Amino acid sequence: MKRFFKYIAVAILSSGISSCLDFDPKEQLADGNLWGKPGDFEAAANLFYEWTPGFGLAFNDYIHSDQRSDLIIDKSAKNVYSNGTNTVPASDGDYTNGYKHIYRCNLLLKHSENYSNPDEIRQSVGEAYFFRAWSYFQLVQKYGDVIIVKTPIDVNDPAMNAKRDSRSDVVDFIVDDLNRAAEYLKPTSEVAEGRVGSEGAQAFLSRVALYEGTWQKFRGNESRGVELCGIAADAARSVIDSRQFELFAPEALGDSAQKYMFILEDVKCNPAGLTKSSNREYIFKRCYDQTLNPNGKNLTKAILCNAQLVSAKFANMYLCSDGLPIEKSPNFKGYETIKSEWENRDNRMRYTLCRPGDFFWSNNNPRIDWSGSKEEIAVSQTVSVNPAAISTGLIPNGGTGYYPQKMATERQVEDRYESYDWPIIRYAEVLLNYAEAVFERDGAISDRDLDISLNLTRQRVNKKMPKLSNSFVTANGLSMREEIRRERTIELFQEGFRIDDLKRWKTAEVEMPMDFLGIRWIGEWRSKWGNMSLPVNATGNIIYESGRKWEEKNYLYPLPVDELQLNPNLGQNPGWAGI
Amino acid sequence: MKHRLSKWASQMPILLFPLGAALCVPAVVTAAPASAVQDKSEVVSGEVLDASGEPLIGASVLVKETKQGVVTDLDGKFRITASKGSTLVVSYIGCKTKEVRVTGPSLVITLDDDNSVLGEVVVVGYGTQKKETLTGAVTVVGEKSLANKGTLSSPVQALQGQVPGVVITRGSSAPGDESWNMSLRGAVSKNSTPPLVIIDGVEYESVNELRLLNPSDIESINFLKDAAASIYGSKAAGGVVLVTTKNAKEAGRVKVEYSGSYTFKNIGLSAELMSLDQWADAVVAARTNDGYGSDDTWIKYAKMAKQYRNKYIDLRHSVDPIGLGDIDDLVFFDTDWQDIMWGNSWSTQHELSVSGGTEKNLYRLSGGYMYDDSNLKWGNNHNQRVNFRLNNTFKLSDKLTLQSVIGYNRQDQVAPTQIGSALNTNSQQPGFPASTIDGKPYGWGGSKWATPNWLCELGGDNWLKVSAINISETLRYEIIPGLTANAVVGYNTSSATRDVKSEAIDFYNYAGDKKLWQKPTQSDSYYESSFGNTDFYSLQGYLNWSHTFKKDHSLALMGGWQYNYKTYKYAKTKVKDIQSSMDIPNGSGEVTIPEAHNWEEAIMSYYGRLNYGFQSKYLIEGQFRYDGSSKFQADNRWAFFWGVSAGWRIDQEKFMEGTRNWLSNLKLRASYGNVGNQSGIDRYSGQMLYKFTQTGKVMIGGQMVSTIDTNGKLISLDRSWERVHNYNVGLDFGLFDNKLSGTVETFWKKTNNMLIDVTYPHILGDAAPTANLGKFKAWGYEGSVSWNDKIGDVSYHIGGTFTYVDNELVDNGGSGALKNGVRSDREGYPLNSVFGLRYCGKIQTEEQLRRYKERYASNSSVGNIGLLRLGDNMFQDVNDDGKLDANDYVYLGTDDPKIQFSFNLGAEWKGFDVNFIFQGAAKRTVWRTDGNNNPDIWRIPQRAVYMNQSNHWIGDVWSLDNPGGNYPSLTNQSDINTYNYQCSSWSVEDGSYLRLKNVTVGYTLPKSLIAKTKVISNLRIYATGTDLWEISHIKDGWDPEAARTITAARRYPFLRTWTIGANITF
Repeated sequence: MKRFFKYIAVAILSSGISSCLDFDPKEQLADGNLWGKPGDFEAAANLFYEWTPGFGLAFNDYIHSDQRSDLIIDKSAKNVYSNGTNTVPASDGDYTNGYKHIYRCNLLLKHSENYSNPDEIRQSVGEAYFFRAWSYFQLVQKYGDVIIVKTPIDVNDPAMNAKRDSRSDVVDFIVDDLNRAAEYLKPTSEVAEGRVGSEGAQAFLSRVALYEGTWQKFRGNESRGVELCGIAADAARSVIDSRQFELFAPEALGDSAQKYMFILEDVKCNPAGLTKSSNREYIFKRCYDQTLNPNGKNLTKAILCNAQLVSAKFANMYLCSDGLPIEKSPNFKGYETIKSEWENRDNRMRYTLCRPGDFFWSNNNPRIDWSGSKEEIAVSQTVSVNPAAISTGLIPNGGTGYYPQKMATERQVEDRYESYDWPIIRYAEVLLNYAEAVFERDGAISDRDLDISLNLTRQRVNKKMPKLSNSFVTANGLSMREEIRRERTIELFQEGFRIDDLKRWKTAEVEMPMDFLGIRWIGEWRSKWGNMSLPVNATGNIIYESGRKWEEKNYLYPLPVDELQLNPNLGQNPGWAGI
Repeated sequence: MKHRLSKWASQMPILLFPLGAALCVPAVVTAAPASAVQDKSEVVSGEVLDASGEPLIGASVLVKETKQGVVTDLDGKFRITASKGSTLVVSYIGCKTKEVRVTGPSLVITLDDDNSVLGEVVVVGYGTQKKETLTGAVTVVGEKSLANKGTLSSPVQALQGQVPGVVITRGSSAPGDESWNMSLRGAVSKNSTPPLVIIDGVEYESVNELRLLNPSDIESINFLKDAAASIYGSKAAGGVVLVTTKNAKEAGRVKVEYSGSYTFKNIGLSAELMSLDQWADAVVAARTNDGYGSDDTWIKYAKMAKQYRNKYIDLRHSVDPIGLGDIDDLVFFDTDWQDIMWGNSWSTQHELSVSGGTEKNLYRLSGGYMYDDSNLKWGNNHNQRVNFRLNNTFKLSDKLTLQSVIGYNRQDQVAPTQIGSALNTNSQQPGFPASTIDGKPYGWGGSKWATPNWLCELGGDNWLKVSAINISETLRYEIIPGLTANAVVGYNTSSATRDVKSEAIDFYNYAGDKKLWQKPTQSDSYYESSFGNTDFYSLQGYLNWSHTFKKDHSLALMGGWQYNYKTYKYAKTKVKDIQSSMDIPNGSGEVTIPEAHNWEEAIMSYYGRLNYGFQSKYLIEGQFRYDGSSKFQADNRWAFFWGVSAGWRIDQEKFMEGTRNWLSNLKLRASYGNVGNQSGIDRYSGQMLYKFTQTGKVMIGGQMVSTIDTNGKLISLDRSWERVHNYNVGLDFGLFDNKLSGTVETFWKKTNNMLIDVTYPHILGDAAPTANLGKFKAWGYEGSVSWNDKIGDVSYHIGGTFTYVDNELVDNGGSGALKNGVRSDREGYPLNSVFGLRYCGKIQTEEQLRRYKERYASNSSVGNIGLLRLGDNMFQDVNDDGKLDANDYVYLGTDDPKIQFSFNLGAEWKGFDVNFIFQGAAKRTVWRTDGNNNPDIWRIPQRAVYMNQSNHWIGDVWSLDNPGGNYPSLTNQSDINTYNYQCSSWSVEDGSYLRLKNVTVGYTLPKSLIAKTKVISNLRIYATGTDLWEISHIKDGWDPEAARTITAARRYPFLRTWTIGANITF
């Protein structure tokens, strides 16, 4: 029996050491077993790519989407951010998520400091800088001043009760991060498809610097504005000079090149049989694939003559084929017939919006051979607004009368399985950033600079349209600034730029309160679209929404109530109710 | 088992008292030394009878002087060698032990029934105590409470409402998915505090695990409700449930026991759906109220439904008269879906045990089988349970005993994979036929309405197989008399496999000649296979010592050490696009591992207990436990818990002598203890954790790449256990020779370091860890009383239990935003409090309507008041600020019943017995919702025009002619329905009920008759009914015991069951 007790005693003592209470997690990674190899950093950085916008920008209500601007309105609900009636929210996911993202970048950067062979993880570190800048830019655009957090912090950190840092400090921080990102990231040609490369960082820097440069310039801070526009111009120029990118303009697609770029896939989706690989315009994109990564949104159905309506203001911004605005061009045919205003216009107009009388195909009613034959017309989309469309083509009889078609596919594919890539940053934007940055920096732009930038997008599908030049502007009594802005608005429609542009130009107070107008309900329209129930204005335009307003406070969003309560030093943005 | 207990008990001061009747003989028998027959001895023969004159088989007869003993035979007779004038000690379980002087060569000894429970030995954790010297709040439930109940999906089922302070609830009546839940005296924290379950000294996963035990194998279930639980330390905040399984009771005879029962189950309370006519009338009424005329599609549809009742229109041969589009036929069948889906069913349970052994080895081997069929008429749905258990007591030497428990159990459960789709509120569509004309699955329309019965029948099976082996080996060594050492090795292993097959089903038009579509589609069909394994190891060593000094001072000490280690592994594989005939993971589609787990945790503990009694009158007990948990960082993983309790047996006092003739027992008890809770803490607290996702949402380089994210939580380095302070005062009493006995107790509990979420500014980047900052308190009282007596040949008993529990979330770091529904985040209110508007009548007149709208339409946030019409609900602006908003929500009660009660009465006469158990709950407010806290859709008439709802409202709808109608005028407008049916004093229901839980009628054949068979020694037949009758205030058709949340798969109706059974002992 003595032996028995000995065993018991040994068992108790040997198990008594506390190591039998120390376990390492097995189904999760912990600091102890992470951050030891390049793959860990890469996987942590892969997460950042989930934060980039996708097609939601094209047709959902989202902070940057055109539904919050003067170009697009959602058919079913008035947008409170667009008509200026938004209020202070109880909480705000954009604020929470912004810092969630920044925290993850900071975490990666912190752990990179102790990594034994820094060269192995340069790309991931570059991505952390890029996405930290990306996240801060989202915050600055929305709230202006925000607290800068450079490292992972805990609940006792003084930042918990800090005042906000000024937007200038934040933008300087972003510029630093992007410069570092450009240094760390590999060239785009060397990174896997879908990753951001060093040109991506430069391109994004041009966006950020132009945003803040013009913001400051049009708020009386000329020198700061000019400095930042200089940074923007230089960054854009470095992308241009890299010669890695070009506008998508294959001859086979002719004047429809821009349309098909947005719906390019690896299957038969365009008349020329081109695939994604022929597109060298996207600098940084979010990749989709019908099998592996379908976009998951009912894209074509939502876009093509369904959920969104376009304003007459936007339709009227398209130049005539002679390069002149409709008010000045002798080629403009007026509004007497339903098709007249569409004649002699920028080709992008009929490929971005839906021209009455045209036939449209969708993922459920796909093209057969692009011949426009009887058989093909027979399957064309029976557009919901117009049951008679099959025989006569589209005749709008609802909403504003202007419908978009950009990013609606024509090939056969199940709903939500469209899988073209989303352009997070494309070369056309960089060209337009360059033109505007140079102009705002110098107060003028040379014809040479216009030719390497703006005129490329202007003439992509309008080969015969005269170039924009200083002499053309002078001869026709145009404003160079206005033409640069027009080109930007036309080219980047529905890609999430317009409302941010109006804010930085400080023209939202003029543009946004205007009534949201539809077609001129005159002439032929009155017979084709009989029971129009909306009011019309003096020029005969349908008033889709009136009473819109824009106050000074609307240039920034309010901070949410919960954050104001949690940190009383945060302070509310001007004009918004505090707590 | 009691045999073992008696031996343990013999080490303790209670040895001072005569061994009670409940203590068995063999202990004494085996202890008898072989001694020579003395000169004056002679053989004495006799017979032992019970109070009714029946012979007692197996009664123990012991010569007090020589310690020699024998056991009575089948006729109750014995022969023993004893000298004249010596004393025989005769004892039998359930009878009072009697001492008889030997006066002649033959004796007839009659034993009286023992109504007293004072002699009982109670398992209290690492030892036993005699009930009379117990100072804690411990309730014991014996095997009787578990017997003759018919098929029990879990032993817990038999205890519902029977044990004071123990609240037992069930979630569903689906076979195998009942989700039995138990709480001892309600909540003690926001974080869950389930009771700690210990079976034969080894810890189990949860109360739900008890479902795998064979009820007949259970000797006793003890509930430790107060400081007594402190001996279990860090996991004992929710109280402790100690289960002891049976062992052989006596050496020598082989005893074979069989019990079997057959149970018939029919539908009890359940929601009833509208008939086709009721539905059509409701549609017309609602659409008319909504301003639609006779040209309205749905009004036309409803009128056609009545016109063409039980007919159909094949649209290939006629024009669609309504113009719905995208359909193949119009069907107007008066289908009672509840009737189609549900029917009668049965279940059965059989148990067989063999026990016996020698003085050196006692054994009990038992096997059990249960089959429980479902009342769902379609598809495969049942639950089976198989148990084996071998309990052995080996007497290795005079001083060394090994108690061995080996249990195996298995559960086989199957349910239709698509049960969720089949039972959701959308699927039982009015007018649809159950099958096509030629008996195939019927489907309707382009939006793919599938008939629910076929989803169950053909959609594939979901099989769950659980196997568990439980081993508990206790080695006990008596070092010196009064001092024993115990070593326990426990091992539980349990594996669960789940095979889920989701098969594609072809749906047809009513004519059955056109295949419409598949649901789910072949490409979405899948085979999911998962395997989970839990291993639990327990090592324990403890010493028990007891001694009595100078007769009056009894002292007992216990001290020990324990290490528990648990590990869990789980992985699930899913393959899509399957070959439906194969029963292995297969398919040509995507293969994924949707879920995988692997973790381990351990607790090491030191514990001890001291008992001191003075003259058995003044009793005091102290206990402690020092626990270290692997969940915490090394610096703060150890914690000390302790408790003290005291008892005063007033009836033993000299000054009470005058009361002895009527007062048999009076004991006052008081205790304080603190116990811990670590459920609010994740494993590996203090380590920064990350989530690895194999294929994330990002496509890079043509592939979906892996991502690593944080687990969403920042780390905390200073968190600790929740500590619950537990106070209890109780009084035990017994009157008139314990014919009347009972207990009343009151308790209160406090937690001052409850783990709660604290919100910081979100610049932190992730959620801050929970912190020990919350405060919580709970209180209540409970009692039980019983009366046992005899009138002539009839013995009878009446008893009852009562429990009241309440709690308050004192400090939650500030209340959350005001929201309606069931909330557990409001300071100053109990958990699961219901908040909503206060109803103040229907809008009866246009003037009322105008004024109500004028006042609230533009400034209310409780619904779209501008849309309201006559007959809609009005709610009160409680705070009188001219607005109807969240500030007007009032407290409407709690979802947890504050009161639980039961009473039982029964009688026995010449072998006949009858017993009634009534059970009920009160002070419960039921807010019936779906899984997302939205009002359950079946409750809202005409919530959607095409849907069927329960018909509880028919005939009670407000109209100008029926201004007293309880339900608002019908509408299809969801804004109005949402407003009317939101959580309010009008829409919540009173959850109190009284139910006839159990009626048993039985007959035990006379032993004299049975004995003649020479084979059977006991035979009892009985009939039992459960849930037979109730008073309930629930209006929407559900059973009052149903959980308030009704998710699709839980939409099983509740049942009434009828059992016949027999117990036979060979």
